[in-house]
Amino acid sequence: MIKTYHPEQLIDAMEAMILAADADDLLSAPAERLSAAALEVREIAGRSLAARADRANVAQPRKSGRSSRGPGPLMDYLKRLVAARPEVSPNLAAAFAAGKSPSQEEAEALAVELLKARLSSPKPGRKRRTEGSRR
Amino acid sequence: MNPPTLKEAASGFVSTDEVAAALAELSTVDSARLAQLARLRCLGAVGLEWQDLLHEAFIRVLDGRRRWPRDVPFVAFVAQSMRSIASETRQADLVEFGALGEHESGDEQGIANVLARTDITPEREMAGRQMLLEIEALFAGDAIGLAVLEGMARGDSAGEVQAQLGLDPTAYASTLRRIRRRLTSYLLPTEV
Repeated sequence: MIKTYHPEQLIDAMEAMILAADADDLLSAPAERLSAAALEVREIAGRSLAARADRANVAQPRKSGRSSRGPGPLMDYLKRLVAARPEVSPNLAAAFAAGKSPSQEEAEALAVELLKARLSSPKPGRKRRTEGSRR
Repeated sequence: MNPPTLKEAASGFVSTDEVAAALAELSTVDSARLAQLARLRCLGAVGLEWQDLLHEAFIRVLDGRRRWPRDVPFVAFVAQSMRSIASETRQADLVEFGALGEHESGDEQGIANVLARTDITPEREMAGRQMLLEIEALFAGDAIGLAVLEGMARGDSAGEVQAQLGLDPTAYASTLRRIRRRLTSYLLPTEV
């Protein structure tokens, strides 16, 4: 019969025993249970690491430079655009053709100009649809 | 992996990137040991699952809330962390079994006294009692093993335990090994 003390003291004593157990002690346990426990702990560790990565992505401030993941969708789009229509930006087309990548700021500046031009241009298609809907 | 910051290196703490690397490279033996330690800390705790406890310990060290001293083995550090978390969880569980005098079945008056003196809920008291019963059952037929464990829990030195139980160093070491093997098997999860 266990004499009385705070249960936590008993747990502490057992914890010390587990920490002092060597590999032989541990490996004396049934192999299937040992490997299953190890697998589950690795899964828990994997979840913890994934949660950390998620937090890091959320907390990552937007960088003006290119990220390590690659040029990003804007740069990809501009590359395809100037390849098809070099007159949009001869400088950018030349840079891409030479295998160089413009800075994110240059790309963003061009994107802004294109967006302005697009917004200020007439939209006959939209007008037609609007007119049609009024009939 | 990023190198430790100057502050981390100077203070002797492991960087969180190094923690992540250690977690990613856990050995089978260390993983199994962590499962056992987590289960141990959940013994007698109401509503605390060992997987959740271990996950919380990993999360806290990964997000920097708990810092891993460079001179402490990782498993021992996580054990300390789980102890702290379990303690927080059981803050209201100050189950002072000492107030019972001796833990005997059928001692309903003793339980009533403890309940009157603390804010222990019946569920918590039951969980604590269940833990003691499980440990007693684990050492059924090994009175010496249980007595050694009790001596350690009291904080007695190895010499004191040996003197109390009339064990020579060899018999003592043999008993410790027996306890360790019994505990390691008992604490491995059965349902994973």
